[in-house]
Amino acid sequence: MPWIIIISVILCVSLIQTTLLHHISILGIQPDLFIIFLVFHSLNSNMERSFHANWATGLAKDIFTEGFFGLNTVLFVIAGYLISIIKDTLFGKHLMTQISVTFIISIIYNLLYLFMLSISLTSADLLPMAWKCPLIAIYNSIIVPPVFWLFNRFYSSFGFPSLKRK
Amino acid sequence: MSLDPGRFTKSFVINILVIISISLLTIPESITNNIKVTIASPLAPVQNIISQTSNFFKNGLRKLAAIAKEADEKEEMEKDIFLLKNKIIKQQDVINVFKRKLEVVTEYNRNIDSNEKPIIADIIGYDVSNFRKSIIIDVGKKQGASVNDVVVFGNTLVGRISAIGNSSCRVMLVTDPASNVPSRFLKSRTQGIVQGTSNGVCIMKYVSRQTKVDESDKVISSGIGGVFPKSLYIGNVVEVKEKSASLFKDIKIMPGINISKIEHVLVIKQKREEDISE
Repeated sequence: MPWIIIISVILCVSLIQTTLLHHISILGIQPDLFIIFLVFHSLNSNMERSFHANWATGLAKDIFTEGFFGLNTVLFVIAGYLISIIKDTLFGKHLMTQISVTFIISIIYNLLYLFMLSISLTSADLLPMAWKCPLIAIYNSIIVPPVFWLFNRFYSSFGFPSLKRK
Repeated sequence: MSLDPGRFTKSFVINILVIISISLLTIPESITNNIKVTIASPLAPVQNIISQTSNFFKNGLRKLAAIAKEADEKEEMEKDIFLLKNKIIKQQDVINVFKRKLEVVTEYNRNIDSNEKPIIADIIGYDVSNFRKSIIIDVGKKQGASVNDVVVFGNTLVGRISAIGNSSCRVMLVTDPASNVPSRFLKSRTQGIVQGTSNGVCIMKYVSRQTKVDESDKVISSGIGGVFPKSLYIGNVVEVKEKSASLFKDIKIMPGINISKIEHVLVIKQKREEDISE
């Protein structure tokens, strides 16, 4: 049952991301619901479950984006692992923690992604695109409160057991 | 024997009334009518008032009932009107979409000398990454499309198919960093490669610093390499820079199509090897 819910959420996130979020893009930048979901899951569930969920989320992002299949999957697992390492020292239920973690993880993920892209597309000069990373991180952080609230509401309505911290 | 006066009076009155009643039956009708009218006339104003009042309330109730009924009917009519309006809007939208599609095909046929019929496709999704630029369209193998088929809007290049499924495919846009389109300037015919930057604009590479390039120069596909047909409009030059140590100019190109403002595109089927051999 929990897996059905997680997959449903990932599907919803994918559909929203591919169809609606380009309407609210600013300077060609759109918020990344996948990253927010990754942070949400990593902060709220145990390492094993968040690993599986992050893997599935990364895979979904790979499916709906151009380029190398598997790159996002790997980066999402790495990002999720980073959060899992530090989450016991954080109060994950606090809004500021959620916003800060989303901001930092967004920057790390986007820089890593850009770096990998630069390596694979050598002819394209992508490093100047690094200015986008903080802007994406800011945009993601801004929409964290409503998105986390929605995720929380959705999960609590299904009585999701693993979202209570140990 | 004693006579009770009260009982006598009662029986007397009853008898009198019976006699009067019987005698009234014998009175001619014309006389009785007059009697009736005469007796009733003083009550007429009161009757009038009462009847008018009752009529007022009765009419009022009738009107209220009628109003309620009319309100229901009006509500239904409003619903019908709303639905009809919606239908009209929907039909207008469908007509507009078809008009635009027709314009796109007409424009394409006017500009491109090809016997190949393009496939009209609707855009159904966008790339989820901020660093890649692609769209998903509702055309796939079933419709005869294949990988590397070129996607245009009118006479403007949109991109090429990078991955295909049965009924949908992914189109790598010209603004994607992995996109490289052999191109040339419309006026000077100087060649270069238009590459995406994931930033909404493209850059034109390998244009030597001796070449004269003006802002607002138009860039078209050169057809070299065989992937993209020649003479497809790509965009306009918006910025030209020369770095002191560089062999080539830095040229920024604004693509001719804003992908977020279009709903459909045309897929140009490439000539297959078997088609060419025939």
